[in-house]
Parts: sequence; structure tokens; C-alpha cells
Amino acid sequence: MPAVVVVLLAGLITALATGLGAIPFLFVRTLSPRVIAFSNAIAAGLMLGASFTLVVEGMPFGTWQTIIGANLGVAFILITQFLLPDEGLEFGELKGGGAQKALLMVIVMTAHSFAEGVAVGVAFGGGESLAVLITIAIAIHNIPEGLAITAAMRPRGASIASSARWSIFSSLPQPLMAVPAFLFVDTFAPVLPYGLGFAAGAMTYMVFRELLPDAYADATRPEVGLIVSLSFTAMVAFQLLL
Amino acid sequence: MPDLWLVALSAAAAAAAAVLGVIPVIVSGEVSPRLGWANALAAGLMLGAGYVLLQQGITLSPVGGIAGSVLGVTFVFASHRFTNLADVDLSRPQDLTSATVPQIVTRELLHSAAEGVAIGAGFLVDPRLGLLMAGTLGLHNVAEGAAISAALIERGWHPGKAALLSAGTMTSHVPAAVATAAWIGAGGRPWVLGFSAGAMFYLILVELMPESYRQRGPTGIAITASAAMSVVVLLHAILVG
Ligand SMILES: [Zn+2]
Ligand SMILES: [Zn+2]
Repeated sequence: MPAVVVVLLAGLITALATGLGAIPFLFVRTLSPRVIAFSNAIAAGLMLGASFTLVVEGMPFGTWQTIIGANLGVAFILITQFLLPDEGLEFGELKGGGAQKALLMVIVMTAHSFAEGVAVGVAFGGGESLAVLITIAIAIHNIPEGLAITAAMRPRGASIASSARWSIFSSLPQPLMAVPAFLFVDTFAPVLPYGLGFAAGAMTYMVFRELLPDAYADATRPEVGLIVSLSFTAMVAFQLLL
Repeated sequence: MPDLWLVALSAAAAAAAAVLGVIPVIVSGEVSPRLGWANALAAGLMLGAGYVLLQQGITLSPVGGIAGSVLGVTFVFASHRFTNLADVDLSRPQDLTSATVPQIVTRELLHSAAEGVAIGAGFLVDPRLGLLMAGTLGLHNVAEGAAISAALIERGWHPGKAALLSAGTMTSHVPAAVATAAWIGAGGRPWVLGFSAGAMFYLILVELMPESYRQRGPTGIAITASAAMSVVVLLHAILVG
């Protein structure tokens, strides 16, 4: 098989793995306000962990570039949120404020896998011996990220099936970006730290702006503190040990 | 072993920073919303530094780092429970008036001891990380000192006394930091690194973030996010290269 096809297939597998993150929600039948708050808290911890991993991934490609990217990411979402209307907006089956939040979540996670797709391609460009390992690693890494997206979308009224679809959708840039990045490593490597930093900054801002306040709304502060700290620790350990 | 005098001195300086938070309270008679900036920045720096501590701990020993973090979270949660102040928000004077002074002092001494462990753990990794931890927690103490002394002044305390007590409750930084730096060997290191991280994560979520939301809104959040990401990259560049 030509190397390019291998890279594309690898990226597709990693994207589909993201959809697996929706599975735990098949077992959560009722969405009471407390379940919704807990779900937001879990999403917050997982996504926070993922954004730290992302920013560290950017470092080998440039320290200052990563920092600049991260701050641009924060500024970008801050400004986008001012510009996006939160009334009259429709996103899938969602309307209004819930639609704005869910849409922003998908935008942010898509930007994140855009950057990760480039990272996969650049990594493959470095030699094919690691290829299988990298693919498996990214695929597994994507599962809790799909869980985070579903945990963020379910409370806003999205069905499990559509949460899974949007999870996979948000990862599609991985195969799409991996191929050109693999073919033109020299062109893509310099922009990689900006992209990874940007995605990390945008994700962190979203966690603090949307997920955490919604968690505090219907759960006590100690409950939120416990759930977010522990799911954050779990995500950091998971992505670090992979 | 790290230079214990440097550890003690920087932990003491962090505790003394609480006095700075009292001055604006004495001048204006209330907690200035401007302290929200210190709070938002401290939250981001503590989060980023905590991530690096956790990462270092897990890299040394996955079990120690992860279990240490769970212990740190549990320690602060339990100490809030123990003082019956689990659901009391320090930054809201109306909440604090329902708490007794011994309750507040006990809770603050325990909370600050956990933060002292974080200062000591920072020095175990690298003196620069130790100094950064002390500076970050000092900044956090400015906002916290303001909240505690405002509550004490409200119930008729003399401002000078209120300032001394609020800084006094943070002096547990010093023994905790020195003991950590002096006694923790290679085997315990991943545990204290994880412990510091977990304790700080929990504190950020139950105290710093809710306070920052009330005081500074979206711009405070942007500061927290920027600080967290930037400090991780800078620390990584220094420690890992
Ligand atoms: Zn990811
Ligand atoms: Zn404190």
C-alpha cells in the first residue's frame, strides 16, 4: 500500500475512535440537573487535561511559537463569543444559547484535531516504524475526547447518536490534515506549534467559560472540585502513559 | 537536598504576602473587586504549575503520581469537611460570618500546609520551580488574606489584628515546605509531587475559580487560561528543555 493511503487510513481510524466516547452515555438514561452538572464537570476535567497535553506537544517545534499560539487561541474564542449571536442560532437539533455553546465546542474540538492531524502527518514523515504505534496512541487518545464532547453536548439537548456523529466529525481533520502534512513535512512543521498552542488555548478558555459555570450551577462546589480534579488527573495520566 | 534556608524564606515571604491584601481592605473597608485580577492570575499559574508537578510525579512513578494526586484532592476536601466549612465560600463575607474564628483558622492552617508542601515539592524538582511556586502562592495569598481579614474586620476586629491573623494562618507554609524539602527522598518524591498538584487543583476549583467568576467574568477567565498555558510551556522549557 502506498504510504499516503496508510496515513489516510490511520487518520480515519483515529477519527472513528472518537465516536466510541459516546458509548458510556448509553447507560445514563435520565438527564436530571445534577447528572447534567456532573457531566459538565467530567467534560471540564477531561478537556483541561487534553489541552495541557496539546500545548506540551507543540513545544518541540518551538517554545515561543507555542505560547503565541495559545494566547491567540484564547483571544480568538473570547472575540468569537462576542460576535456569535446566542439567540436565533440553530445547530442541528439545538436552538439558542445551547446551540451557541455546542457549536463553539465543536469548532474548538475541530480546531484541536486540525492541529493534531498535522502532528500525526509530521510524525509519520519522521519514519514509518513508529506509524502503527502513533495511530493506536492517537486513536485511544481520541476516545476520552469523544467522551468529553458527548458529556458537553448531551446536557445541551443533543441525542447520543448526534453527539457521536459530531465527535467523529470533529476528528475528521485528523486524516485530512495528516496526508498533506506527511507529504510536505518541511512546510507544515513550522506552523505546527502555533496550531497546537492555538487549539490548547481555545480549549482551556472554553472549559472555564462554558463547562465549569454550568457544572457549578447544579452541583455543590466540593462536588465540582472532586469530579474535575479527579477526571483531570485521570486524563493527564492516560495521555502521559500512552 | 535543596537549600533549606531558601525554602523557609520563600515560604515565609509567600505567607507574608497576605498582609498586602489587607491594606486595600483597610483603606476602602471592603474587598476590592480589583483583587479579582490577582485571583484569576493565581488560578492560572497554580493550575499550570500543578500540571507540571503532576507530570513530573507521574513520569517518576505512575502509581505514586496518580495516587498522590488523589490523596491531595482528598486531603483538602477532608480538611474542609473536618472544619464543617465545606460549603463556605471564603470570598463571600456573608458566608464567612456564619463560621467561627477557630473554624476559619483551622481550615486555613490545613489548606496553607498543603500549599506549603507544593512549595517544598517545587524545590525538590528545581530551585526555580520552588521560587515560582512561592511567588504564585504569595499572589494567591494576597487575595485570600483580603477575604479573611474583611470577614474579621466586619465582626469588629481591629484591622491590624485581622491582618496579622490572616497572614498568621498561612505561616503553616513554612514547616510544611521545609519538612517536604528536607525529608522526602527519591521514593516519596512522586507522591508529594502528585499530592501538591491534586491539592492545588481542588483549591482552584472550590475557591479561586468561583471567586474569579464573581469578580472578573470573561476577562478573568481569559487571564486564567493564558497564564495556565504560558506557564506550562515556560516551565517545560526550563525543566525538560
Ligand atoms: Zn487530542
Ligand atoms: Zn491558599
